[in-house]
Amino acid sequence: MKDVLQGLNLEVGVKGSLVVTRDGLVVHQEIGPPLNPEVVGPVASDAIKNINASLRQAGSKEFTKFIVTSSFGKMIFHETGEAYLVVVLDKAINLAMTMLAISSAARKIKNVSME
Amino acid sequence: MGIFDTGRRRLEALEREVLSNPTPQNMVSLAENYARTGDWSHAEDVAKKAIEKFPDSEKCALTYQYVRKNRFQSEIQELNRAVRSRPQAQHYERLAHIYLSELADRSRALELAQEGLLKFPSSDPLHVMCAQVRMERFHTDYQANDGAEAIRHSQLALATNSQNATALYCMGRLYAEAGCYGQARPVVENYLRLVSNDDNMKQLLKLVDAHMPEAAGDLDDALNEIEQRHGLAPVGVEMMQIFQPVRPSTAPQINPSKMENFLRGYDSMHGYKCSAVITKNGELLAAHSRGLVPSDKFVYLLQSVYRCSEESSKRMDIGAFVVGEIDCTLGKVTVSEWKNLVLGVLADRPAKEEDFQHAIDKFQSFVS
Repeated sequence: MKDVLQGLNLEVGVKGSLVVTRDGLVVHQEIGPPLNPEVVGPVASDAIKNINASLRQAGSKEFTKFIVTSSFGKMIFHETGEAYLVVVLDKAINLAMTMLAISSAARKIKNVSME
Repeated sequence: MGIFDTGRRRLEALEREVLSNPTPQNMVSLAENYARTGDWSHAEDVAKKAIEKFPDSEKCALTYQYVRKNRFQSEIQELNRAVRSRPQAQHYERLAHIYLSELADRSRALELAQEGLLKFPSSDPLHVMCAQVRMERFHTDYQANDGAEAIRHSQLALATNSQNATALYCMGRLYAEAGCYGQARPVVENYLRLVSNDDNMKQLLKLVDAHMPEAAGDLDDALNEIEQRHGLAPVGVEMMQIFQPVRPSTAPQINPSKMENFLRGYDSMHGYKCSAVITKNGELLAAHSRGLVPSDKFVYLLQSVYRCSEESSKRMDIGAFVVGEIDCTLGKVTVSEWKNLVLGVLADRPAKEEDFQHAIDKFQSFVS
């Protein structure tokens, strides 16, 4: 998992990545400056729990993908079976290209966690 | 000849459209069309007007950066090579300056300055650039962390170079706008000793003196109040207006029934299920549903997604929320903030990416 996240972090515009279970437990994170690892994990965990709770209320199952674009960056949550791959990115990136790398990393993590 | 005529006619039609109803979408289209024809000068003019008119629009910002980058491409490439092979503080300083001042890409400028500071922690120009970007972000999003970081970087720049006028300028303005007049006064005075002909700062000093009895005690408390209010206090607004126009921090007044009529227009969108508009405080303005998903459930989902996204963006220090997209078993939910109003649209297949984008563009035009 560490190798997959480190590889993903080499992609253009990726600032850091982590894997969080559906109930909010941080499994592994590769987060460096300027991001704060003590903040990113709990924030991602809260976001997953809160949004899935409100989706269930609206009659949906849990989300498969969630992309947040903010004024100075992006966050992507991509499901990987029992967990989510969370990636923090620059704002000005080619999202289509980066999304391919994120989806590929998510598949690898899913395979790792099934082994 | 026919192809050129068609291109010319398309440009003229876009020019007319921009004149009669300027929206981020049609201004970006016009700039892109000029760029496609090789008319970079007009492309730049239109892109510049677009970011002045719609400073929150990501599309407008990216288009401006794209047309401007054309001019600085070779210098950026050369500096990037230097930064990777034999980095010196001035390489980072120049590169961050190009991104900040020439391309208006604050995010990249901040990253470069922060990266440079890891290697050259005593570079006052890099600290000043961080302070400038943080101050601009503070004036856009009113987030306490940006204000505090702007002041911290100004202090670090002044620790290296006590004569750094830009650091004094940022610090003086921020202390004053936050209401910390006691801290602002000596800083503004120091600045005016270095730049004695700055009439704006002189006017700021007069306002600081006039309001000294109402001074706030603690900077952190003052910044947190501003963040909760999503805007400066009236005196702070008056001070900020000396330097730049202040955008309203409250949502535009739109009649809920007009907004509901507008949302009904989404009925023609492929796969549309429901939509709603709330304020940034979570209050419902209008909602519409085709019945498959109850409006109240969707509104609750929209409130939750917006609150969560805004909070996450703030805590991760990536600015204020702009757009969110969620894929779930109901379909796809797009959430977009514009002029302090938050739109949510839920649609399922066959709705495509461009249908959602069109829905957001229509909302922005309507609110604008």
